[in-house]
Amino acid sequence: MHDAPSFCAHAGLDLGELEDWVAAGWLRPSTGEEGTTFTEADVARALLVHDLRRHIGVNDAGVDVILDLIDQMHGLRAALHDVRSTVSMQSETVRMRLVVDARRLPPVRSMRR
Amino acid sequence: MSGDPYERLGVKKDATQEEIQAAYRRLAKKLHPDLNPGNAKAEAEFKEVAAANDIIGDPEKRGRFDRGEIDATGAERPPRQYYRDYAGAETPYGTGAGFADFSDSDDFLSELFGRRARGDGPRRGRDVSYSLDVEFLDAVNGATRRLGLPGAGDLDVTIPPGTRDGQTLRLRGKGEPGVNGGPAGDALIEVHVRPHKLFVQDGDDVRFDVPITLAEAVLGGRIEVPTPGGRVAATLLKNTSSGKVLRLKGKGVPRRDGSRGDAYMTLKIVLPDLPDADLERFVGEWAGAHTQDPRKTMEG
Repeated sequence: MHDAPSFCAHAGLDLGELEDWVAAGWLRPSTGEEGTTFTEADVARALLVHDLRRHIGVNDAGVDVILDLIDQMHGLRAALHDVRSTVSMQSETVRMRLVVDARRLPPVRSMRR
Repeated sequence: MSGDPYERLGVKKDATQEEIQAAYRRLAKKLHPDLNPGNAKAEAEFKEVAAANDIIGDPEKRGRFDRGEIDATGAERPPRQYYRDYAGAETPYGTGAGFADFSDSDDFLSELFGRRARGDGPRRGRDVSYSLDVEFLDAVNGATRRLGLPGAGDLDVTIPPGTRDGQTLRLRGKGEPGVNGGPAGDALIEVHVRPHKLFVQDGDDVRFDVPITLAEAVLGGRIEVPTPGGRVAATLLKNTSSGKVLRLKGKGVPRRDGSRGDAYMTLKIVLPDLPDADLERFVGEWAGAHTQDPRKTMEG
């Protein structure tokens, strides 16, 4: 866990930038009894934002969109992981049944319901 | 990275800095590990590309590389953790927005994802793991130890009596703070018990050697011996041989229910430090008048 100065040192930010990034919603530190604290996940996320802006040439609006999509993607990956774990707990019969039914689905279909 | 940085970025030796930067951006976009969370190869390739760019993306280093002053590895880069390594765990960033439409219906997926879709609610802080070395007697009898946490002050850890090597103690609420008003995580402390110079733990029991004199072995009597819980008196019967094991009931390691295992002491007869003429004369006389074959049951 880091406090703000230690976080800035690890993430390559100054305190002013940190304020901007938190205001933009790019970073969401936790606030508790010990004040604002940052995790290693926050450090890694800040380094990702640096990569996007400095090396990949993404502007600030682009960072908003990319972080939002990455967060959605990890939400989906976590949900998919849950589905996989749940399916793996089923009996062989049920799992085969799911495979057979999944193969019957049309290859291209609308996601609208 | 040991290959040619120009080759890795797919540019000619005489490429302009702008061409190199464009090539690097094109590859970085494709290979950045955070844009490829499920692809392990992407990280290795991204590192190569980044290392190549570190050299030839910088006009000064590029000049030194071209002149042969530095090789393609340049300076070593510190290992880096990518965001994807954390995103699978509980962070304040995960969102269920990607399947909000699934969560609204009343089917199986809605039941399953409902809890994840409420991404902005209170969330418990992460657990934090530590390891703590504890002396054997402190683990057996219980103690309080202060654990200095980097950047987070000190933590007083109560080691309950009967703590075992490898046991994990959980301190509620001493992990990372919660998010959006959620409870803090726990501190998980794995205890490593240091070996003791005398006592050897055997489950709930404790074993140790106790030296006795020849006179105590022959005549018996009361002796005082240490146990993990303190010194106790033990009774030796007359004519006790070396290697005899005596049990001290309830003097072992405390169990969870408050009872204790036993202590087993193995007696070892110790002769005087220096040869003793009186003893030699007496034993010689005694051996002349008595026969004993302690090895008669040995085979072979």
